[in-house]
Amino acid sequence: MTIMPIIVQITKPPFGHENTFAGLYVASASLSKGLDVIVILMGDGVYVAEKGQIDPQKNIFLPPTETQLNDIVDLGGRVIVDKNALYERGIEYEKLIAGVEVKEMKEIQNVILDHGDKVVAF
Amino acid sequence: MSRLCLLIMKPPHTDDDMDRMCGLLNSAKERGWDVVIYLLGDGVYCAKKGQRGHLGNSMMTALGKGAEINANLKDLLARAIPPENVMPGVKVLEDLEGAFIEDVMEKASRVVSW
Amino acid sequence: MVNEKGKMLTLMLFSGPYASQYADHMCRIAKKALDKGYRVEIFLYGDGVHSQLKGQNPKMFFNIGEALTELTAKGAIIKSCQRCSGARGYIEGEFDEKLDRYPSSKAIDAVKIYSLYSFVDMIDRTDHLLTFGSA
Repeated sequence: MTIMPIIVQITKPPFGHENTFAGLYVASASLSKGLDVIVILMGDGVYVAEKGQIDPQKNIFLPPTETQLNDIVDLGGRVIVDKNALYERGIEYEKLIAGVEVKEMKEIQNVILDHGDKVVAF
Repeated sequence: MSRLCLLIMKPPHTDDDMDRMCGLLNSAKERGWDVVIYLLGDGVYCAKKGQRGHLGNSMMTALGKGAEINANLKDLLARAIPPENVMPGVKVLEDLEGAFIEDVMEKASRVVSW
Repeated sequence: MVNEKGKMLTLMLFSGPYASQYADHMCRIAKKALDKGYRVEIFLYGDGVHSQLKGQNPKMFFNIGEALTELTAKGAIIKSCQRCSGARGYIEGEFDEKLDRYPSSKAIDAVKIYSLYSFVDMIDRTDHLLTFGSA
């Protein structure tokens, strides 16, 4: 029934809270059911896009969100990352996983207004 | 006419959500959309008079841009904010949930809650 | 009264009862939507699954377990996440096709423990979606 994509908005970093894992899980489950998904990483959520997590399952008993995000990209999901949040946190673009789009907040707001029929905020 | 409906349940200074909300509101207004904000629970602190700084005055700014803002009476009273201590221009509603549901289900083009 | 208007509202609750007002807000908004004749489906996710716990007895707080039971009496459909429920000790066996839920003696009857895909299905069908306690 859904024509517009689902927007999954994540503003927390990976691991400190269950939010990121839960949000990415909704995104990948939706994609696997044929729905279109846009994941928007804002604020501390931009840390999720940083590659190079070293065995979090072994180190801190938490599943790797990097794997989740890569799966979302592979499944055809769109991942948008807040440019200013990256800048403030000193995250260089080369450190991001492949396939993400870095956008200014203004562009992100337009994505939400254009497509934000159903926004699941984490 | 498109309509953005925002449900806010947090105080204005907690995190950077208020800045994001303001940005979304600005973009919607630039498009000529109607914007309505519902303040529920701790969100009613956003409407308290006498705050300082840009976060505390987000609702005043929103009103200046033509947003409609509604605050839940019971949540205000519980938090020692009688209606006379609410920013002018903010409507205080006894049945905020009812008004919100009507808006979401029948009028709003986009709804964001946090 | 339910289904009069045909439109559907989905609500997701991510935080536990009593730790914040989010569960209260969700229940009151859900009740208002049902009273106005809309269809309501609720998904409990993350710590939100604790709202399904049987035997809640808050002394001075709004009883979330009772509120959810009242909502189902009014026609709401309430499901909770199987993965989150399992992690928190609610699930006591494999999915029961007859009962149409994961079995749990710890969860109130009003809530069916189901896979996350049931939430995806709600999102797909719903006209509007609200989230509580996740952002």
